Amino acid sequence: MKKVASVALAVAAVAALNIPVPASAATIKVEYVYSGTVKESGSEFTCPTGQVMTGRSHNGDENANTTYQCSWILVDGVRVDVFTGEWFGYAKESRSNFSTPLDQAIVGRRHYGDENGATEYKTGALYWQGQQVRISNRTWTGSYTESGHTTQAGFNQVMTGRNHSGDENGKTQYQYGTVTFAG
Amino acid sequence: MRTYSKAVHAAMVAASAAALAVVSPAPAASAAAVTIRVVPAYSETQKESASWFVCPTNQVLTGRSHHGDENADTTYTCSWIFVNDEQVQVSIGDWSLRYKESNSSYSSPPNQALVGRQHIFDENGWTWYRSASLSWRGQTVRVIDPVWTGNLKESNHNYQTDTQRVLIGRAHSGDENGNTRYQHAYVTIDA
Repeated sequence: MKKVASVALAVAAVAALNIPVPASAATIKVEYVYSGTVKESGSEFTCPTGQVMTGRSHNGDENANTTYQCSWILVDGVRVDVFTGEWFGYAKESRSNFSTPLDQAIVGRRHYGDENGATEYKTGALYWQGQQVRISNRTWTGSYTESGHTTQAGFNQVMTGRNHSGDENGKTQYQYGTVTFAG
Repeated sequence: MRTYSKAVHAAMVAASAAALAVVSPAPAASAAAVTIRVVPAYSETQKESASWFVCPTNQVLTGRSHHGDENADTTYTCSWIFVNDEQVQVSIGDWSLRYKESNSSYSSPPNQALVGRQHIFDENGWTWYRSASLSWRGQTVRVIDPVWTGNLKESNHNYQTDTQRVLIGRAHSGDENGNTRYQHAYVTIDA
């Protein structure tokens, strides 16, 4: 597996997101901490242990690089565990439409070849001190042109889906969901 | 849907908040009645002679169907297990040793469920299985009361577990006209 390892440990710009909440509710923070770059074609990327995907950018065709952003999730200042399984969701990239299973976030993506190649995802379920953390209010973004775009999760959101049609000039949309925790 | 009343005394204790706080070391949620559901959530179809399948995160195998020989498609069904509407955590292990498909019998280790199968070639090819252990809020989810089905003809069958059960094993003898049996079991948690 050829993995271009240009890895920047980005210090979270999100550190200032300390919103006041009622004392009884859990405070949730999705904090951007890692980015990794791989060649789009013939590569796979998985967020580091305990992190989920919150952004992606790509400029060019399948031979160009793709950068992924990963974040960890904190509930009352304590990290959420991310529990991942195997790759699945096999689909041809040129008409792929992926959404994670219930209450799971994307943690990895792999893609082979060009737009006719296959794309698969790895997803993670979220647990905080043994209790399940949920993902609600899933929404799709507008369309980006795959060959030159950057997408990033909104406040307290994680990536839960992606669809793409056509080649690198085709359109890509992302699905994001909001992290919630009942306690 | 199967509802467990946990130990009767626990329910009685729950009636008294003060007593619960003193007596019960377990979180309130696991001291009350627990509802366990097995809910189909995902299916995928692959060519039998080159199949490599593992259920998505937090799901276990609950069905398989096949119609035809090794060149025909096999469809796998995966399900969630919910305890009080919260997903059971599925921790997948390694692939099993390989078995010759024409004379294979696999059962998951104790308290584990099937989550994957791979197979290459025809009945003389190899089959591997993958199992997983199950937990809920850090507590082991147990897999009990294993039962084998009767013989199903491999070349034309569709087996799905009952709503309370998961697959834990499979046996096959002969080619696509041979018989296939599935082993299934209940999931439960201790009081």
